[in-house]
Amino acid sequence: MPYTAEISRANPACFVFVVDQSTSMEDQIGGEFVQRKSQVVSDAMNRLLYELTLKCAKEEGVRDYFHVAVIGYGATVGSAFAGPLAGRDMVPLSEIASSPARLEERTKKTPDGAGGLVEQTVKFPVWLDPVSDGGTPMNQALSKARHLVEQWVEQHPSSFPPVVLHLTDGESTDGDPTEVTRGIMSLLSTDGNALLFNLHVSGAGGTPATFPDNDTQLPDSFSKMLFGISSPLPEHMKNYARAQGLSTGEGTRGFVYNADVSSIVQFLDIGTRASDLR
Amino acid sequence: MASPKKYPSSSDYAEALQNTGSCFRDKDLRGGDVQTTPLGMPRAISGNFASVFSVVGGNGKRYAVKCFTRHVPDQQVRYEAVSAGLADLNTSWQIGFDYQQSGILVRGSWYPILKMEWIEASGLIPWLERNLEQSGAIADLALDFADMVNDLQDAGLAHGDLQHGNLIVDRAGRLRLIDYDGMFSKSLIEHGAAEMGHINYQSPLRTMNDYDDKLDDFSAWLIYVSLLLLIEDPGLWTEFHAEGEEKLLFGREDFEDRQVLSALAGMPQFSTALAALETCWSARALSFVPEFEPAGLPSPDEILTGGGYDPLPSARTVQDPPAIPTGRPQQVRPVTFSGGLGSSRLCLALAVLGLLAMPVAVLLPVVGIPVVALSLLAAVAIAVPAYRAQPELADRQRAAYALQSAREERFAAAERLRTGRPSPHRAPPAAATPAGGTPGASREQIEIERVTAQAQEEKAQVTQALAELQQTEAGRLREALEAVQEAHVVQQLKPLVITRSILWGIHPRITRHMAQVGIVTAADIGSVTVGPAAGKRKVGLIVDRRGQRYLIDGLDGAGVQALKAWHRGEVNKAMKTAPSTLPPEDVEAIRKAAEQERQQLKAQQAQLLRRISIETRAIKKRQQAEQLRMRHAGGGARRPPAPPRQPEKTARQIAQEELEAAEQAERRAAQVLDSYSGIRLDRFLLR
Ligand SMILES: Nc1ncnc2c1ncn2[C@@H]1O[C@H](COP(=O)(O)OP(=O)(O)O)[C@@H](O)[C@H]1O
Ligand SMILES: [Mg+2]
Repeated sequence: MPYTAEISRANPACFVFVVDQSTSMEDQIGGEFVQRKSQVVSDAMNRLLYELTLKCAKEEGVRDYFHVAVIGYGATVGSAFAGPLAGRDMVPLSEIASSPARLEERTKKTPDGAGGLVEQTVKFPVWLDPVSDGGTPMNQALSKARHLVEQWVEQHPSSFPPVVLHLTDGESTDGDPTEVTRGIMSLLSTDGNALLFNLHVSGAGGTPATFPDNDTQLPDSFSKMLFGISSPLPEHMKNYARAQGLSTGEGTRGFVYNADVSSIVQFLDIGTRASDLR
Repeated sequence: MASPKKYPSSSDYAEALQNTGSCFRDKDLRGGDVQTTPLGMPRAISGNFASVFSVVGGNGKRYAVKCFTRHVPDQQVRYEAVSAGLADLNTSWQIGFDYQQSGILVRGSWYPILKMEWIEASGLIPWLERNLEQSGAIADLALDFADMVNDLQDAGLAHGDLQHGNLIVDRAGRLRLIDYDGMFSKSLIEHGAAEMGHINYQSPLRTMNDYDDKLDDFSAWLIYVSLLLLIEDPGLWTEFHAEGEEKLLFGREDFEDRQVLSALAGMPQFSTALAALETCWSARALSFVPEFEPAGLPSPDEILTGGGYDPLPSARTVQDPPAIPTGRPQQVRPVTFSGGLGSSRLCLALAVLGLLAMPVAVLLPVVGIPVVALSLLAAVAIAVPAYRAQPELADRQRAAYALQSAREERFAAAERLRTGRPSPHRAPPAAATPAGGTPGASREQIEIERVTAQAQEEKAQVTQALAELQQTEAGRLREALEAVQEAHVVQQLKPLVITRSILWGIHPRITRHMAQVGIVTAADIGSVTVGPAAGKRKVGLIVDRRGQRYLIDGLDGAGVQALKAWHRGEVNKAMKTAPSTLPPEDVEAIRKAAEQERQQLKAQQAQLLRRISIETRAIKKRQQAEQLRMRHAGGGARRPPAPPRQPEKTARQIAQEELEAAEQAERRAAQVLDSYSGIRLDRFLLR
């Protein structure tokens, strides 16, 4: 069965994040509180990276179950890390864990569990800053991702297939990305095709959606296009999604519209566990 | 059953734990100090379904707080049952815990936690890697492990996920069992299993429907046998456990591809242990996995003192389990592991036979072998359990450990003397002079190194070939996909007859010419370019699908462009509907072929491993025999006199003194052990 290769230090997997940093990300979206899209995307990325490092944290420290690249695209296309990892492509997870650009503090009001609110300060590691500058060379960025994935499967042919997660508002300025995304999804390890997931951050409104079954509820052509270029969710990931109370169907794809995407980290089985969810 | 809900993720918990004053309900934990990483963030230890944090409470005690990242049905009931089941046990391996249904507040909702005492401990794998050469410590651990499984069996409990991640070794070297999430208790039968355990430690027959007191048998045999093998030969670790692997010596793959098993198969000292594993693996139903019973194998002490294995491997047969009775398989009582229990007694009996060779030889002419052997066997079968129950035995075992470690210390001291490397316990002396090696010992060492280097090189080549095979496999998959896509494209292009398509600048004369060389549809075209100039005129060049090249008279630059654009457009259109994955049966075929090659290579690799092991053993044996001979020959000979008038001791002198001290200690330990010789089995039998 595909998507069952073990993820271990002896057989690591890779994540390639592709982050839209074009001028259009300057725009604000909002429901409860208004935020710039670039902020939404960098928050999501920092959260994902933190989640990944925690998931791979063991007694002696963070293990290199994953190698991670983050490609930003806007005025330029390339590594989007800030701080000590700036300019790096594929980085082992333990290094990511130990080298954020900085810790950021935020004060938020959170429910105190008894009907009231308390103000709390929390710290979190930051690897990416919000950037919004330049065009939207989506094709160029995805080509770079394809290149990294290609290299990875050459070097790790039996690994769990690479996961590419693309975070964008969808408005490409260098053409339709369908071809290049097909290229990514047709890359193979012996355990299956590379997976392409899309997080669409949009001001077009409509209801947020997590791993929808079809595109009929999606508000515009961009979201429909991104749904169309997202991989079908592999079976065991659907099981995890269901265990989290999400509904899934035949057509469920790795597409998220204006919602939290960090749960995909929980969809990955690390180590060799005969999970009941398989 | 409560409906599944989204549980907080590890980072949600890590965030909540930054404010312990408000996230915990428990008074010990409230306001406690969370252990942090060098960056100052809460330090987590995560599994697939939980993250564990370390919190020092207001009372100064350190706790482990397990936070769950996934909903487990009936978790509270489960923990209560496990708590009740463990309450009366009062064993050294247990850890105290308290399940709190509303333990932690995350983003406004309460979630459960498991509050545990924090154990300063090391995971089993890192502990083993540090203690490989401390066979005595591993033997202690193996005894702890066997006791622990027996405790669980006696209490009618099963852990459900015995594996290296859930076995930790505390600072006192004692084994501790953690992670009681998936435990079996009779009172939980109606709730069923919560998980299936680590794949490398479970029988392939185990499913979510298996939930009884036999859950641990397979994993217990596996772990115990691995520990026994490591006492016998720590080198097995480097041979069979690759860096980062999630197993001890055997994982599921190792049973499936059998390479490790067959590599060990030729060695008599492993045969009982391997037979035990084989019986577990080849059980036809989970209920036929024999109940864990360590008495069926040589004990850790016996292995430690070198007497634990069967000198006659061929005498060992594993009895087939009886056929599965139809009807109520639940009630089938598991067969005991006859390959172990019975035969280890047999093995001891044979050893006794050896010890008693003298009297047998004397008796032989009178009674004959069969009678003597049979009566001895009977005697042993009765006597062994009684013998094992003797209290003095434990003391003897301790003495055996002491001798073992004294012996190790002597080897180490001799090695220091030989290499001139100072003892790790001391700072090197200021005026250390290089020490000359003993030529005899270093010759053996060189021999070992030569033999292993050569075999290692061959092994590296095979490993390389294996790695390349992976590449080739990926390449083959890619090529196969490309071929499928190409076939699809050809299929799509076939109906596109060139003369029926509107193409600028292409005269019927030209298409006729193309038809003559067999280019009729878009499918016949591989590529179109401008050929080498014939005189001043440029002539179009068409390469067909088979790579044949045709210069097409009259096809000019504009024609080439038109044909090329049309062709490329159609190919792209066809590619859009081309399959992006290989049909599973093709993938399967490619994988099968590669698998076959892999098996061959692995067999080679295993053979080499075996050769290395056998050869180094042989050399070591020779080395030991040589040392023994020299010691005997040297008998009462004086030690080399200490060089006179040297105020500063040289490294060599220190090493020499250490060696002497170690020798003395060893002699003392040997004497102590000898004083227990009165309770050796043979004497016990004759008593
Ligand atoms: N009481 C404890 N004391 C010290 N370390 C612990 C304790 N409980 C768990 N750990 C550490 O946390 C890791 C994961 O805990 P475990 O209960 O096995 O979680 P999971 O169910 O995710 O496997 C363990 O391997 C161990 O290193
Ligand atoms: Mg565990």
